[in-house]
Amino acid sequence: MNKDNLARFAKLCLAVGVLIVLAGCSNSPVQDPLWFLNPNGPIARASIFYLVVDVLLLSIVIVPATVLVIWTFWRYRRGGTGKYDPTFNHSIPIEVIVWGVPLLVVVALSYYSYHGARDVAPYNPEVLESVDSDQAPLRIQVIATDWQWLFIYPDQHIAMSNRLVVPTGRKISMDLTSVSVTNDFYVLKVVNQIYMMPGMRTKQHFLVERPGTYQGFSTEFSGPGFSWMNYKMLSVPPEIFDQWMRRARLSGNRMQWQQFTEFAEPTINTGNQWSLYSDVDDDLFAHVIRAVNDGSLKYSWPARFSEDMTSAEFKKRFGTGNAESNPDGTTADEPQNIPDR
Amino acid sequence: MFMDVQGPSNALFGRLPMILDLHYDNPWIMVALSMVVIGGIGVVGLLTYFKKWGWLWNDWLTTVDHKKIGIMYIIVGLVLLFRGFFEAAMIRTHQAMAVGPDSPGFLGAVHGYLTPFHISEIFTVHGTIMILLAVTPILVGFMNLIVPIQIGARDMAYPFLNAVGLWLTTVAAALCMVSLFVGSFSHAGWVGLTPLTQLDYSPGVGVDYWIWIIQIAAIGSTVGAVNLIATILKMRAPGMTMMRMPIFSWTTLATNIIGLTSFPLLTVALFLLTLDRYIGTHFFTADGGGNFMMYTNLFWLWGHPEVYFVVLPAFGFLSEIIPTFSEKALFNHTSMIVATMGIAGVSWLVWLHHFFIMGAGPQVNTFFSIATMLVGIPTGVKVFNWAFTMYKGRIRLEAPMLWALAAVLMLIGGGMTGMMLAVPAINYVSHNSVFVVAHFHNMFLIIAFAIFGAVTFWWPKAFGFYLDDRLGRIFFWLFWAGSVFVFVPMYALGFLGMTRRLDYIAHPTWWPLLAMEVVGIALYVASVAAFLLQMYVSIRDRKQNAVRTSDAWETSRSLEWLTPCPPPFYNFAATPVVHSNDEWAWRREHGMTTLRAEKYNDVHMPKNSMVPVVLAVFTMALGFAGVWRIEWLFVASIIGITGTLIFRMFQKDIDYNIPAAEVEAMENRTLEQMDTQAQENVHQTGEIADGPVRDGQAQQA
Repeated sequence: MNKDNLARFAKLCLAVGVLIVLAGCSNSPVQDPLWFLNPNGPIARASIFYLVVDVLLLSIVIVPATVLVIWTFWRYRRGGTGKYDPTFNHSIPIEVIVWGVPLLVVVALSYYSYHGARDVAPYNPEVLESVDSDQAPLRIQVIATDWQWLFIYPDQHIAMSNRLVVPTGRKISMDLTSVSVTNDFYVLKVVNQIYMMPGMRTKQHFLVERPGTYQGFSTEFSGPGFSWMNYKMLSVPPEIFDQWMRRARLSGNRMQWQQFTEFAEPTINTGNQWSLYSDVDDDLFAHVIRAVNDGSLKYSWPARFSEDMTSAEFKKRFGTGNAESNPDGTTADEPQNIPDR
Repeated sequence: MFMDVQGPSNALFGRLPMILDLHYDNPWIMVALSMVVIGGIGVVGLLTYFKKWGWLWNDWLTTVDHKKIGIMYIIVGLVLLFRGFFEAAMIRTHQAMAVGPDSPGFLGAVHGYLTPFHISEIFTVHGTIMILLAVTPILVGFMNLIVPIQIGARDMAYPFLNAVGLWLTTVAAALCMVSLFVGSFSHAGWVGLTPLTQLDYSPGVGVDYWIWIIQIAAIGSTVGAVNLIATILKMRAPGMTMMRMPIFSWTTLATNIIGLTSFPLLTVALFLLTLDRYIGTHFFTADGGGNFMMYTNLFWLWGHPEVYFVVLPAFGFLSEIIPTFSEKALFNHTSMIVATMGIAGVSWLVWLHHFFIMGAGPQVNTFFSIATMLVGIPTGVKVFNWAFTMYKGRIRLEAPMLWALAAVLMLIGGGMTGMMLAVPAINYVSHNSVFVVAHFHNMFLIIAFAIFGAVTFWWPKAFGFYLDDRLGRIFFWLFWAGSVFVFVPMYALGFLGMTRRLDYIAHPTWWPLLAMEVVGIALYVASVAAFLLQMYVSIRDRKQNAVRTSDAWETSRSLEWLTPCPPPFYNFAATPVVHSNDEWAWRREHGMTTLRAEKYNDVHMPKNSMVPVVLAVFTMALGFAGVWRIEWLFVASIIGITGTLIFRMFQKDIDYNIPAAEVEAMENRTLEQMDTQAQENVHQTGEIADGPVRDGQAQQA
């Protein structure tokens, strides 16, 4: 390929690339594209702070390296202006610099890495300690089943499946476990990731600063229903949070051990269905961990899932139908005019 | 004693009756099957038509020649690379289709064209193939092909073991191809984390295929590692001290130390998982006192060193290609050796960074974070040393150098993102996102670029003719453009929060970037076509493109260029004496480029053996019986393997001597075909720094 063709090809690639990027812009005029770089809450913001620090420190090495590679290539290519000197193949000063500078950068990064790990440690994040609050943290217990979520509010004695509602500005303290396989709890832009493991309890803490709707999902592959483990996390002012609690208490759905074992049957939540429960067993979370450990709570999956997800047999076995028929009878999905974030 | 399994099974056929119930109505399987069948019939037909069966059996299948074994490793790897690429294309196109609740579904899927069961098999097999059955065999192939010539050895330390290693890898690859049509593959990810791979959650034969494929491949890699370490430590030519050894041989040594020490861990972890699945122990279960996080630890204790197992040889390729085309010795040779061994050493201390988010405290996470970042130092040193190798050089942008430069630029990007992921605070938001996927594909692309550079670089050495340059450059630019179009959007999607391994994508705002990735895949398809065309054209024009001297690139530096292209089966007629780090460059400098030896001696060579092929047949039966739980066949194959090994132990007639006169005759025939005048005239002066011969270190043979 000669130079002209190459240049023409490069231009074509560039043009196509720019067009596609522009197409991307026009496609999402209003909707938030879910950047994790746009955090809400001290935990996610601390993570992004360390991301920026990390990139800036790294550029001390990365930028000179890139420039050096491109510049030397350009200058010392055949026909370039550089003078050929094959005897230059060892230099102690250069050696000291190329070992020393990255070492110093790593030392600096290590310092930030340690402080970052303490700042956003899931069990006792230091960035939350600095937040003044007279209220005790809101306790939430999270159980991942195949492939749904159950959020238990033990102090309120209610639960929600596939939907999480938290009061804005209040610290949240979560306990997490799973029924069958490992899942990973994550709410984009608010809550950092933490494993949810069967038979074990992990913890997570966070705080949302602004009201809004956030996207939660599992990030650890957990089987065929994994892609449909999406749920919305609503951050609402305290008075609306209380409305939600009342609404749940009035729902009339029970969540005792019996109902839980039915709920935990393998289900692919293709309809994005969610529910509210009142009358929740206080001991449910601990009971699940005990039962997983002694092997009494276990669901074997079929040797293979139906190849035809659209079939009636599949729907009967794993599907949960349509979102429009919420079990508490309401159709209003969002409680108030709360912007999507 | 054995676990009850779902589905029909009987004593004679094990679980095989299950296949009657499997997805043979799926058109994708059928397309793949017909491709394999047509390809297979084509190969068999051609072999029969040209009466090449004897040639295939005597010259290739039963060979113990390290060069042929290396080439066969690379062929196996390339075939599987091709299959792995198909799977990548399916994942990308499916994900671009299955976006948003209103996207249409085909072939039984609610969105896109792959059901969750199917796509999870595809990404699992993509990972397993690319890492264990494509990249690893190709790299091991190059180690086999180049290292013995590069250190001036006649063959590997254990030529027979070498063939065994190849055939075990081939069996793993074959079993992987079988899994496409007979039964199904694991759908639990290539990592196979428990408890997802336990019988309760993976009741089919998929995980069993995955286990047996990896077990067999791992044994192959382990025996290969023993062999290469012994070869490098014990069989170097006189004068080649460890510190004079070329960097590719050093990286091979480092890699195989990693391989020898880490593969047994994987074998143990998978063996315990096998016990869980077959006889119901509780090593890695959530109940019964099992500890499934122990599997995660054991797996990554192997898994992360494995990353350096594959990346170090690629660094070795770059360290050979860049000096050759910069016409200058590698900058700071000693420092490169230290950096290589440094990376290998630290590789053992970083595994926990794959699961920072399991809930470990800040102290534990920080330890592994710092250890991980330490890897960045020697890696950075390598980049700078390559740059300073080019500095004050005379760079020719031939095809191998294009690949190498692109690999260095890729390494800068991949290193940057790797250092980002190494910080727990950042990892908590980016773990398991496609940002991670983009990062490790970026790192694997370094390996891919280095591999294609190495293929172009050493092709004339292995086959005696050049690859077509024009098509090679087109291949490079298409591959480069494909890489940019697939992985830059993927990094961006990671920042948008997209998780890996999705079957259905709930957020339509991600669509434009996913569509861009499909454009990248189209470019990759074009690059594969260019590669195949390049192979065809090069082989067609091999007469015009023949190499006339031993030094195909005229500025090559290490010992493998001191023997004809292609090298005779005994590599060197007379064992060379090494004077310098870059022996061939040194000889060019000193006018010692003749290939005619002063005196010929008898050459001691190993004999071909069909035992490795027999072992392969029994191992294949063992793996198949293991997967389908056919107990009698399993026992029979173990007896077969043991018997074959005992037979081999009593074989006395395994080597022979070629008399000196015959060696001389063969050498003369080879030299006649070469351009002797050009060979004598490849002198160039002023290429190396150290003028005088360091006689003290060069012993006479």
